[in-house]
Amino acid sequence: MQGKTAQPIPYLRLKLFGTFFRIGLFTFGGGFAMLPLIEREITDHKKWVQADELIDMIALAQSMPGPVAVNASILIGRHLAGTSGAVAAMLGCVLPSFFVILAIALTTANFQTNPYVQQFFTGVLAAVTALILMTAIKMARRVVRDWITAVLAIAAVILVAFFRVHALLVLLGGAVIGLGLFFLHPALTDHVTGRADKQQKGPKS
Amino acid sequence: MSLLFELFYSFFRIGLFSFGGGYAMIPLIQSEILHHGWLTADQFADIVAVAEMTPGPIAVNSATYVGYMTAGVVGSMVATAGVTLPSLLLILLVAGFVSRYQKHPLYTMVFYGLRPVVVGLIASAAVFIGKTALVHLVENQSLRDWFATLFRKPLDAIQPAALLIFAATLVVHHKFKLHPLILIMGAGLAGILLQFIF
Repeated sequence: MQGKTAQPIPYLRLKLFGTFFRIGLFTFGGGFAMLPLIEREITDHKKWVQADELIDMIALAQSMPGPVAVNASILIGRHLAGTSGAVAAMLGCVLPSFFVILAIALTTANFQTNPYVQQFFTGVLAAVTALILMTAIKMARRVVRDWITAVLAIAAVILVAFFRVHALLVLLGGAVIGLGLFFLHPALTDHVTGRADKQQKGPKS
Repeated sequence: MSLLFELFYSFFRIGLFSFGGGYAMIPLIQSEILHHGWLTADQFADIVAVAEMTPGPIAVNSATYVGYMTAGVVGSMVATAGVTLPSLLLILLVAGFVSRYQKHPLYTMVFYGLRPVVVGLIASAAVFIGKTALVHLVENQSLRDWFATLFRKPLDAIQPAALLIFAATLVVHHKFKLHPLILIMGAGLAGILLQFIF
């Protein structure tokens, strides 16, 4: 995660702010709802961040305190344009939420009890569920390469979704298992590191 | 002045000590706010409901709201800055450290273990949102009771309009690669229109 890109992008900080403002404006249903949008805008469309790098950034964003969406915007902004990029992306991510809540507090409108608003959000959350699921499947295709990663992914879903184990505990478990494999299974370590090198040297997909 | 400082400090602590994002942060936010008497329990329940229907992380939503209710627009700015500042400072501190060891096999292996867990967490988020968005779950209802309802009175167990939109989003997203924003807005409109049918 170096703070430099191959080619300078004009007005990068302004673009970072604008992109995250647009994403922040439509992040309904929690921080993870941001991921399909980030994937589309930052990875697929603008190609600012590679898909594998994005997964690592999300891993970091979840392991750090604070809202995952805010953490992700800071990491991506920093990756592309250093500290000022981090600030630009974070402001873009936070300001839509800030203005909308301020507007609601100022008008003291009980908009959440309006039936049309409720129906609208029934639809929005159904779509967000589908989009997050698609993102998870897409990322699983990149990440799950062998039985160990398959077991880890399935175990994480079962522990968090059905046994309500705290996300941080599961992340810690994944990191410790990775660490253990490094010390106990050198052959796998060589294999995985070799694969990572090949991916970094290969053409950008 | 001391109120502004209190707001900043309180939300700074929330930003610093809440891990896992979203709903995992609610208990800490709630105890901080109720402890100070900034909102009543009912008001806090309201803000959680509003947060679901407004964009952005719930921590930011509640910081802005509480800040405004206690100290006006300046208060909302101070509280929002407080809740996001720990993220910014910590990440700027840690990210440089992390990227220095990015090529080390130890790093590769830690992330080899982390990445599938992250994918699992994302899938779990879909399960959590789907649980409120697609089905009718009575409070503390067990999975078995829910299945029992599903077979006896299917319409009491699911939200047909939402399930239809869910399925349509999967198909349209897969086939036409539309921008998620278009899908989200379209799904919202479909939610309003489908109420006339179901």
